[in-house]
Parts: sequence; structure tokens; C-alpha cells
Amino acid sequence: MKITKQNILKIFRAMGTAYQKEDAPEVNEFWQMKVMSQIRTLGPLNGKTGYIDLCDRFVWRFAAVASFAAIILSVYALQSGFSLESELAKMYIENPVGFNVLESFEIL
Amino acid sequence: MYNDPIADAEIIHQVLEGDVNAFEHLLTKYKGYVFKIVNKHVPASQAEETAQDVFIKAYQSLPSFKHKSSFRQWLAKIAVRTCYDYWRKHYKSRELPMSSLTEKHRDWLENIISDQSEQSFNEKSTQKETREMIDYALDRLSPEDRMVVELIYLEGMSGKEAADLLGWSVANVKVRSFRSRKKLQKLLSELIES
Repeated sequence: MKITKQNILKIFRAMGTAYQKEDAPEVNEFWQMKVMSQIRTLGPLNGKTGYIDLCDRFVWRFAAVASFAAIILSVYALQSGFSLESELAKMYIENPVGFNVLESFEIL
Repeated sequence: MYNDPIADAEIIHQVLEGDVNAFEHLLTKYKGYVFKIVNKHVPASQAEETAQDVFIKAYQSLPSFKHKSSFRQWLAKIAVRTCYDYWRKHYKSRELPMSSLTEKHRDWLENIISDQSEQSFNEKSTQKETREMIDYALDRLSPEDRMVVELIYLEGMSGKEAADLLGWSVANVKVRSFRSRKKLQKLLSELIES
């Protein structure tokens, strides 16, 4: 016997009636003590999770924009013939003293 | 009594200010509600642990509660999603008895299908047989399909309400509800024919 769409909906209705009639269970009295004990070990919420929430709001919101900007800049750099060596050479020629100071700090 | 947003907002404010013990007021007020949700979706032996997880997640997520909906609705979302997480973790290790249904269950199905009056089959069927049929059907679905069937077909929610509770798109919920209905149609047809 093949079950049609109407039949399956009838079956769901019968199941749903029984499903919703089920009594709410009794809560073990020690359960609440156990939960609060667990929550106290987590400590108070003031301040610390606020920073995480703040971070979540700003960092993730701008992550997509930052990724897009990085892709655009990379494409531009590749297309414009940007080269790190030539840029460093240019910096040295334009400002050899400053360049040596940077070297002495082991930045370059 | 349940939906007193001003009282809930005050308690939430105290908890966010660092008063951990104030959370117990919310726990006392909503534990029955959470247990009612959890008990419908997970096995009875796991209800306490799952309900505990719900309140711990609620406590940890309290800074992100923006009062756009009532605390009760927000807590319901956490409860439903925690139940879904339970099935995702336990789906592969669940026990699936090979022949868990008897002639009685096949008769139950045939009675439902052939009966013209819905009221008469509600009187005929026992809670136990119906619950066994529900468990038989749901155990054969993926966690995602299971949650959709429970919320839409058994609890009578709309696709939008189910999607909101689960945090999924309405399209996803509608596709799953269609596919899982087809799957159960086939499964139950085979059961009657066997």
C-alpha cells in the first residue's frame, strides 16, 4: 500500500497530537544546584566578555571589506609592475643616511 | 507570569554587572520551559544534561542578548539549537534496532490512513505506540531533517518560525521539510508493504 502525501500528513497530525500531549518532565531538585555550581565556576560576566563581543562586532564586520581591499591591492601591484627590490633600491638612493639608520636597528 | 520582560531585563542587567547568583532567578523561572523543549527533542535520559548545557550557553551568551525578542524566545532558540547539537554529536553512534516495529504498529499506520475521522484515531491510538512510531521515523533521519520534521510537522510551526529557531534560512528549512516528508513517505510505505 503506497502512502500518499495526504496520508503522510494525516500520520504527522496523529503523531503531532501525541507529541504535544506529552507531559513536561519533573525536574530533579539537585539539577538546579548542579547547574548553578557550574555557572559559578565560570565566574562573573562583567567586562571580560564585553571585549570579545566588541571584537566580534568590529573585526568580523570589516573582515570581508579588508579581504576585498587586499585582493584589489594585490591585483593593482601585480599589474603596475611593483617590485620590492626596486622599491628598496629607490629608498636607498633617495635617502642613504636614513636607510643606514634603519639598517643599524636591524629593521632591514 | 512567564513573559515579564521588565523583570527579566533587570535580572539580566544584574548578571551582566557581575552578580552571578542573580542568574538563578532566570534558571528557576525558565527551567520548566526549557525542559519541555528539550524533552521533546532528545532522549529522556539525556534531558537533564542537555538542559544544563542550554543554561550554561545562555549564561555565556548573555552579553550578546540585545532585547530584540523576549528572553524566553531567545532561550528557546538556544534550547532548540542545543538539541540539534546533541543529535549532530550522537547521530552516528545512535542505536537503530533492526526490527523495532510489530504488527501493532503496522495496524496503527493502516488505521490512521484509512480512518475518515481524526478524532477517532486519536482515541484509538495509545501514547506508547505513537511515541514508538515517532522514534522509529525520526531515528532514520539526519539531525537536520529530524529537527525540521519535529518543528514543522510535529509541533506545527511555520517554515519561518522553524528557520528562526534553528538559525537557518527559510529556503533550507523548506527544502529539508519537503525531502524528509518524501523520505518518510517511502519508509512508511515499505513498512506497510513488508
